[in-house]
Amino acid sequence: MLRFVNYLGLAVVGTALAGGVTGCSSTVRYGDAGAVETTTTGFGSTDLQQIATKMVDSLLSFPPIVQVTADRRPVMFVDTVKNKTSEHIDTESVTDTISTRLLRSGKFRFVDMTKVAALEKQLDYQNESGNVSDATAARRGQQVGAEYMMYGNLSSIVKRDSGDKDVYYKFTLKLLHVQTGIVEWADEQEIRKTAKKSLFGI
Amino acid sequence: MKLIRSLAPLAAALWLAGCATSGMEATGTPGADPEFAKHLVIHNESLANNVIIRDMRTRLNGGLLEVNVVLANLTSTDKRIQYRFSWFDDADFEVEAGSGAWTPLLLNGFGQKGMRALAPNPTVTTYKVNVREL
Repeated sequence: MLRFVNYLGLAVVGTALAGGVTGCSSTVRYGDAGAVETTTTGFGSTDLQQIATKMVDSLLSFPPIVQVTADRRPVMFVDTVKNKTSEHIDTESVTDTISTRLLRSGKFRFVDMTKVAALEKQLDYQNESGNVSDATAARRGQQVGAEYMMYGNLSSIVKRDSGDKDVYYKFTLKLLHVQTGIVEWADEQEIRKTAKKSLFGI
Repeated sequence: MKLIRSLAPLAAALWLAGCATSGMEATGTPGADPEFAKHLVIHNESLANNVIIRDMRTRLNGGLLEVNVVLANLTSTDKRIQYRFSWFDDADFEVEAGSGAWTPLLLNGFGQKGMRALAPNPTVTTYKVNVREL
């Protein structure tokens, strides 16, 4: 009788496992890239988009910047945004979104300091390889110097209490005038995210 | 209160018509009378009864359209909502289509909050704001 029960148990487990293997199928669907994402308290796409939008809006509506960009498009370069949080966050992705939106606003232009070596190589090729006609070769010494430097910090405070978690992010961005060293604009964006672990982890 | 009463039949009609989307949508054009320019389409009766658009203002800031839409929570409980701005040029083409992201917003009980945004470039002449529950 005991053996029968054991066999029956094994059969039930085996059927369940087989059903699990054959019955599970993953479904891939396209979602809205702009949707609010609340999977975890970690830095996510909604935080990135929110920070970028607020910072760009703040910079472009700041009265002294409105004045400067009224009849010309100043040149800017983006320095780093230091990640001071305990998470791995691609801060270059945040500054990429900010610089793209600023550029597309038609108010600022950018020089890309991450491409200086590639640009130098191209100038060498055009001017020294002998393969490019003088008429079309880009001349040296004609690049435009950046007037402003953008840089910032991303920090966080994380608190835990049993199953609850509270994460506070603070993103600070500054715009420095290269020639005078004066910080012409700065702003902060704060984000608070909380997570509560429900009963039985459901 | 008067606004809610006036919007309730519209909300009910839309609910009966079987609107599937949840949220509300408002469009505005700068320069027009703010009251007149308000065009409110409510897709969700329960949300419309709890959260209303109290004010919509626009101005030009450095050649860019700046918008401030004030949302008010009519209930005593906090409401978690999300909103998204869409921008249109004078030919009614969407500007920077697909780049707008939903922004989460916490509306405290009986509180009100402004949703402020700046148009992505000077070609923008009108805007639309969508609000829905989070």
